[in-house]
Amino acid sequence: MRLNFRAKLTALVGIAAVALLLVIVVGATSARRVDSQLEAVQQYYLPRLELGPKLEGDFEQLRRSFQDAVAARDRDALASAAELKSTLLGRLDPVRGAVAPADVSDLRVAIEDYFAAAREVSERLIADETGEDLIGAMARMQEKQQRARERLERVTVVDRPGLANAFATISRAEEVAGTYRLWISLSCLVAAVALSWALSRGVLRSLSELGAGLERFGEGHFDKGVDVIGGDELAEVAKQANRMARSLARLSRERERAEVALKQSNRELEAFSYSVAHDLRAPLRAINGFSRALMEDLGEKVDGDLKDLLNRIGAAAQRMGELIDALLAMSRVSRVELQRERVDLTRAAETTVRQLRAITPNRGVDFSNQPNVVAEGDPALLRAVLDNLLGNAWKFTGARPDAHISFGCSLQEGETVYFVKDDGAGFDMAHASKLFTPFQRLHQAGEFPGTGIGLATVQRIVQRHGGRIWAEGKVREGAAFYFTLSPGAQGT
Amino acid sequence: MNNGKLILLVEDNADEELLTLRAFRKSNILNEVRVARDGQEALDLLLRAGQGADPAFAPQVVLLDLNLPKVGGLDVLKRLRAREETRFLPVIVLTSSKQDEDVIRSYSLGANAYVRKPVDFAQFTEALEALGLFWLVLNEVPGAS
Repeated sequence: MRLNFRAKLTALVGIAAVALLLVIVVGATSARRVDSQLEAVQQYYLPRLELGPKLEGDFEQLRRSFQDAVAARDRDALASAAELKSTLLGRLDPVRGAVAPADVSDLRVAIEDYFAAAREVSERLIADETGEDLIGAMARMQEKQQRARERLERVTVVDRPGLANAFATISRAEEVAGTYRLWISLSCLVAAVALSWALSRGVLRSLSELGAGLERFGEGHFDKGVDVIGGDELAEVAKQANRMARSLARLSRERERAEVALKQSNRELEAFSYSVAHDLRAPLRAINGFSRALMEDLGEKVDGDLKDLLNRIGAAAQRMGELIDALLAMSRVSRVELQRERVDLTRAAETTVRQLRAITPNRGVDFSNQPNVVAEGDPALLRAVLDNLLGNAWKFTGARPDAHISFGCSLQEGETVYFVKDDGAGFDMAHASKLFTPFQRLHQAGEFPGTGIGLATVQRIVQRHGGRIWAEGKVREGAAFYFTLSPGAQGT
Repeated sequence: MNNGKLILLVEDNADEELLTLRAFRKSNILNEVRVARDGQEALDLLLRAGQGADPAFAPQVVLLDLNLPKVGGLDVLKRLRAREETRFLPVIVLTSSKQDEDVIRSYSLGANAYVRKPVDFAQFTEALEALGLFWLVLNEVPGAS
């Protein structure tokens, strides 16, 4: 039979209650038996034990009072004998329960008889009577005295075996009660221990099975569920754990399918972008090349307008090539696997600025680079971030002969915030939200050339690292770009 | 410049072919340029197999596109490197792609150089001029006297 914990605990409490009840009943029963025996001792034996010597003493006094009265020849002294008699008889009243009523009334009759006889004899002796008649009366008196004594003894004799028996009964009752208590306590203890052991064994088995099952689930093995042992509350927990495992297994299957689908679509995207990279560029090259060829072959015959038009065709084709490259770079950011390692950003920024100086050697830019700025992230992608941000700073400070660009980081609310600042063209904060949207540009292409994809790429890289990017700027005063590279303390 | 050395251009796109030939001319490389329009044709020419094979055909350098009909550029490269007579033949991958995978695979298969064709014709011409100078004039190959 399988019991749940509630039933087992109830059984435990029940056993304890029954045991307690038995102890109480046994105790009460034995107490009643002891009580009745004690009552018998108190009411029957004790009064008799006390009564015997007193009655004998009284009787002896009575007898003597007659002798004294006769010796003193004093009839009045006989009155004290009457008092003594009533004292003696008075003692018999309280012990009515302890002594058989028949014995008591016999004793009364015997004492009254003796008293009457003794009084008669005493009065005749005081009156100096003699003769056969008096001797006969004295002999009868002697007889009655003897009889009274016998009755007295019958009343006062103590039933010693009975008394011993009563005490024996008391001690036996107590002994029996003690034995019962011992056995009840022992059996109660054994039952409680056995039940507790069964209970804890069940719990431990269920728990270890549950633990092993949950460990398997944690490792992602859902094929073998938790063994449901018995029908108690832990079995219910095990069933729920199995239900959870089935849900998790279903989710994990769904996720695997989604991953397969994602890989498939990634492969397709890869093939697509490969084809874009390769096949879209060929016609562009043709457009550019043939427009140049046309210009060259027409030579002197080309007038200024026609030359301008041909140049525009070539430039447009070239620009489209750049856009394709930028778009591909951006889409790669989302697809490549992210490596996480320690990247020396100070050195990367230095390298980028060195390259920028090499391209535009006549620019006078003051670059301040904070030493020892490091980050955890993908080296190639983080370099792309710095290339873009520093490249932008370089580009938008182009009109300034003494431009300042700085790179560094600071700790804000426990979070490392990296920044690239410049004092270039800046931007209107009203348009700040458009900065990171692909192909959105805040400056005219003629003023500052660009693809409009750089910051969108940077944002994707930052977001792939779990960070955020934002910008502050003011027209003609400069721009500052801030980014983090891990999920911030304030959450998403 | 025409030092009599032969160039093999493997290119399926007629526009590309025309532009490449024009760029050679513009950069004053006047060597003979033979054009193979797919990978199989290139292999036939170089391994002197198939119909109309020219036993004397021995180009100084091969400009190889990757995206080719029939036999792809990388397969052409692999088969050239597997053959004794073309093991050291200079092969320059000349393509639109700049995917890392393509660059790495080309070099793994034994390409001598990897050049991405720029969209701008002027830059393309400069690139071909540099290529011609290096591979037709400066570079030495075994067996060539």
